[in-house]
Amino acid sequence: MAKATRIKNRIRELRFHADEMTQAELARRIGVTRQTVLAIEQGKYSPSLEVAFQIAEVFGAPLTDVFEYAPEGAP
Amino acid sequence: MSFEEKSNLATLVIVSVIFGGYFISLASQAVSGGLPADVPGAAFGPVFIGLSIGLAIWMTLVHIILGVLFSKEAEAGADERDRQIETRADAGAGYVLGAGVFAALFMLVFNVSGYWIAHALLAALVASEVYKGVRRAILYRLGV
Repeated sequence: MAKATRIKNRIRELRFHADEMTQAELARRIGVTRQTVLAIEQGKYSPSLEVAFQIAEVFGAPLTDVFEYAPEGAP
Repeated sequence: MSFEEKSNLATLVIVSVIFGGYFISLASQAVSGGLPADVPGAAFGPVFIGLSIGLAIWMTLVHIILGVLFSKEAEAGADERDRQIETRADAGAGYVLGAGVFAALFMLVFNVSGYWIAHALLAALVASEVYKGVRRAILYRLGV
């Protein structure tokens, strides 16, 4: 069955630094549902490359500052 | 819970109740001897039309209610996660449907009445829809 993705992200932290941007606001700006933003934040869904770039653009950060690949066995 | 997830759960409940109820009633009739083994295939026609109309009415009614209650979410429509979940659930449902079709072909070889073959196909269709609904519900909760 489904397992947590190996893609880690800092979306929650970045939202906090963006005047506590809500999940709904981020979802509206990238064209997905709030539930999808929640699933990405919780590591239950890996977004498409396009949505990942859109998220990075909203925060004005490079993609690698938002998402990080954590291979199995990595600390 | 997104509108798509609510819609999936509603569909799952409606399909399970309507067809589950019908198949339980059919099985009890068959066991009690109320239905002969050689029921003509044409007898399936009214059953199929009745079930289809019942399903269409309930699906429309429930989705209108959901749309009114959660109009903002409904307007958002499906996104990439919804589509990915649907694709994964569809893949497994295809195997269930295929197994049912194979079973129906097997019944044909043994000269089973068209009435029962039609029911086997209907049961396969329903089973694949229920599988799809359950799989989608799990993927929504546990992650893709």
